[in-house]
Amino acid sequence: MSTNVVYYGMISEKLDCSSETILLESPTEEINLRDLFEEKYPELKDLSYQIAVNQEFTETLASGIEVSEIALLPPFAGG
Amino acid sequence: MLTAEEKEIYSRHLLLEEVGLEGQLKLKNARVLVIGAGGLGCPVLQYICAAGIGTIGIADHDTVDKSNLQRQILFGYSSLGKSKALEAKKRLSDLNPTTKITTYTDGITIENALDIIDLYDAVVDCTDNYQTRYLVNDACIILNKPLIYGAIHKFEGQVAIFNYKNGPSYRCLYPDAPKQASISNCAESGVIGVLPGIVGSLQANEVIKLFTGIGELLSGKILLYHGLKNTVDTFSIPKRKSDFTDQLKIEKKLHSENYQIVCNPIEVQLDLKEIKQQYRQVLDVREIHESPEVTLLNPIRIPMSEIEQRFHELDPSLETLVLCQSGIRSKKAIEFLKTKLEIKKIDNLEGGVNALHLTQ
Repeated sequence: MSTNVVYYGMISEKLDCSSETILLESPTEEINLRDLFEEKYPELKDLSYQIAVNQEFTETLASGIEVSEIALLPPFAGG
Repeated sequence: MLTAEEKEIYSRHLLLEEVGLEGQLKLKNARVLVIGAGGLGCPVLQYICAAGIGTIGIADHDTVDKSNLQRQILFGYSSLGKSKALEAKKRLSDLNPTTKITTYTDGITIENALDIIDLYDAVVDCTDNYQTRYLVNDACIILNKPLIYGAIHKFEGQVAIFNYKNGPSYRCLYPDAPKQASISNCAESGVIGVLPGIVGSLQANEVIKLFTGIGELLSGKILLYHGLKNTVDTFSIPKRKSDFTDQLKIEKKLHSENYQIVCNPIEVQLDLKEIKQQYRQVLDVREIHESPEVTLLNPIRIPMSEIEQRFHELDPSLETLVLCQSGIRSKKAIEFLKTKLEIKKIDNLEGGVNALHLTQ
């Protein structure tokens, strides 16, 4: 299934991309999302961030979940 | 009760069914501590003071710099070089003379955090660094105070309420501070001036809702605002079980080691001797006023702001190391230099002087 991925803050700068559509194979078993993204973008390994699926934070994607959006959110320091 | 004067000041609130006299009295009785009187702190202070929060604390150790005026709207040229907390108080005392304002010009530290925060009903996090954010969050956990959080990066902002009625804390969202060199603040990466105005206003709105008890709070949620895309998204934050925060609640004590190490950039393998052996030319792109100086490396100092005019001062035949405070500007400098010069070898000091300092 094609899924919209949104990158926030420093991640979007590092990847030079603020959103994209990725093709996610319909998982038959649970997917570790951090592994999936860090394999696609190894530079993410140096960054701190949380992953949200359908606006809920999670590390994994269970099989059979309908995904409308995945977001990668780094912390912001500025004030 | 409200005085006749106060009824006049807050007449537009009193007209709102959701606020009214009862809500206005709740605001009058509220005690709010704003930590950081910078980009976020200025609009937060301005609106909560105007709205009639009765007691306000302002904690900031910093002084006003010219580069603050682009977004820190309580200050002007007459404030330059003066304490932000005191200058903010001066402006707010004119805006609303009925407000009781206390200033803390040492800012919030491990030593004073618990004593100061204990005097207030809620805390607004308007700080600009991870050390203080984690410190304030942990102090709020210990003292069971709600924390209205705001943070910004370039064109994007985050707002949330943490630790409200046993809800999630900042550590449920980001358990530990980032370790890597990629972290930056407004001084490093820049920020669009109006952004803290928007994000700080959202924080002030949450403060008013919290005390008047109206609407839905951003507790257990984080709001993300994107100024370029005009998007607002809200994400749910789960409450995370943590031995660390359990321990905080039991011990009721902050330990300095939890707030010093958190933001150290990546460990740099180089020490000064190695740098001298590997690089015959060291370029420091920090502005002249930035410290500490790394005189041992005898760097050529060309501030980032002058690099386009002065890059030819470098000798392209030498192995070159570029450094700044945290390794971000130096990286940009390298990208630029590569377009202008055929340099034999040019490397970035990852983590910058901050990291270097640790290995000495």
